Amino acid sequence: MPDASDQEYVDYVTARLPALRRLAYGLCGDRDQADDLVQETATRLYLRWARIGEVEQLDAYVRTVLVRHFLDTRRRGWWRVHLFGGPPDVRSTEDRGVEERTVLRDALAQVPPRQRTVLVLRFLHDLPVEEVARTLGCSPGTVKSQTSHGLAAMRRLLGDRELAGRTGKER
Amino acid sequence: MRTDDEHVANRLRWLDDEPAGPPRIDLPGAIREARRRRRNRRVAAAGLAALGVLAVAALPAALGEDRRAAPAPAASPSPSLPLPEPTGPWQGVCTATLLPVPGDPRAAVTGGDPDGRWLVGRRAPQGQGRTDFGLLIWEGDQVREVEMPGSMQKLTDVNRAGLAVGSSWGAGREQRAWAVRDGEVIGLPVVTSGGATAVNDAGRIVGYRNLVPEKPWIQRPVVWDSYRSRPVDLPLPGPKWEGTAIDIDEDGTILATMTDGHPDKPTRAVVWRPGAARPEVLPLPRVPGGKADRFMPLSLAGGWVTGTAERDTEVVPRSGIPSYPVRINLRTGQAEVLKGVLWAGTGNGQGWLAGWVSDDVPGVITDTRSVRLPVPDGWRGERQGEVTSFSDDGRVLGGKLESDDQVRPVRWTCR
Repeated sequence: MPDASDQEYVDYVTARLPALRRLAYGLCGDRDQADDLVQETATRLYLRWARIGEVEQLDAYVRTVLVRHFLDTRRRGWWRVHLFGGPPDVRSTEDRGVEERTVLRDALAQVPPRQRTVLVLRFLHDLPVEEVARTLGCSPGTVKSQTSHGLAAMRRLLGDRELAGRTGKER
Repeated sequence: MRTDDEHVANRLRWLDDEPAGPPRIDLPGAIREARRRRRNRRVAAAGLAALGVLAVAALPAALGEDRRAAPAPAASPSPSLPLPEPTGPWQGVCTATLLPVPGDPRAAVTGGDPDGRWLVGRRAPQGQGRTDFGLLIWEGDQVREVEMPGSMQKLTDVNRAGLAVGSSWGAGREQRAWAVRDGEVIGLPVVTSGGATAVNDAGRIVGYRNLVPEKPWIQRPVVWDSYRSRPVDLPLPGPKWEGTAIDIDEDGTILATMTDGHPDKPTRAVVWRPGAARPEVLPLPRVPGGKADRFMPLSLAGGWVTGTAERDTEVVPRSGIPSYPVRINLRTGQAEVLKGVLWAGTGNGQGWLAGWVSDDVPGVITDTRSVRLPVPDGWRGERQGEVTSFSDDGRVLGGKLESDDQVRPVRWTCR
């Protein structure tokens, strides 16, 4: 059990949980896997908590831990040995556009992980290019090109026989 | 950013949600695990120092996969029923009808045969996570329900004999390819992970296989001689090319959408003609302003490759970069930009295209004219949707219309 000195850690992570789950879910599209990503991020954060005072921007740091762990798991194929390496998950509420959401998540799951990460950080989490570059440990130029490749992939996937032309209206 | 990219980005924001259900994050567990790792790290460091050896992580055992053998094939598909003869030249006067769906009416058409007699589709997703799609096959106004194993089930094409093909996700991360014949769902002979996208009247099926199941975006085009045959890799235009076959013509010519493996290179159309040793990469068509930067093939029928072409411009018009409807005559190699704008859709055996056109309405673009498709009587709200099937005679189209939470399968008939 956590002792009193861990209270600060617990308070911090508890407050950040919704945002971390959102990020993880956006990246992997699967509820269980998202929770596993957050759990691992929380574990790694605790390991460094004693020295966390050296970290300037804690939120950005934690986001970086989560994102890099996500990319790492993709490279290693670690998630394959887990039960939840299934199809993309979709929120189960009866709201507008359930099919659209499913189709979108399915398409996003087919975008290469690094491009997907850039799309999620930039458009779901509204992070500026420089911030995304820091998170991924690459140059802003790379973020821009990955964004453009990721969007092209999404357009191809969404236009390609699945969900056509919902385009003009919102232009 | 291009405006159509903005559109994709806007749609992506739809996904900005927390996963459903309570979190199962266990913070005391995270603390315990972190402490255990800290201890192990100290022990491991000491052990390594003492032994002077490197530990190598054991590889995880491969997951067992469902390798059910395909059921023994039944007799060849029955010949199609006689069709009503089209009457006179195509006038472009069309009506829209909602297709029958048992129970919950939310569904979409996802493909059809060259005569428009058969349409295939799926219901709105059900089940936990809403990834379970019930499949539907219409023959005229008769509808049949089909259950395909897995999730994200989809039928993408059907031939004149009613043989439908599609794919689903398996229990792991792999995809499976299927055929449906007389309501019977038949697993296509083994592809570790892959899907079927199109079938012709000879029963030849094309699609893709995934080189690495956990990387579904890396695909190789494949062909099955029949639903009983093992898939064969199509020869690539170059060593690193990747992509999927998307259509097969009645003469056996196959169309794929591919890239040369470099992420900066555009999508190209690749065709394999019957008997030819090598595939051909079709040249990028010329569109207003110069050579297109991208060509996204949509279909191949009657020797016509149809698709949309785009050319990047310094200044992006308010309406976005135009997506030009293009048809390429494989007999002559000639590419032709048709009038208008097309935001995805499909083509037919006359080289006509159908989809969402200028002003964001469903429509048909032929070599000589452009026609808007109507909505069914009583349809209220938006005209969002798609066209996924276009008969060779231009008289039957299938697709879907969406408005608010409504998704309805639609058949347009034209005279």
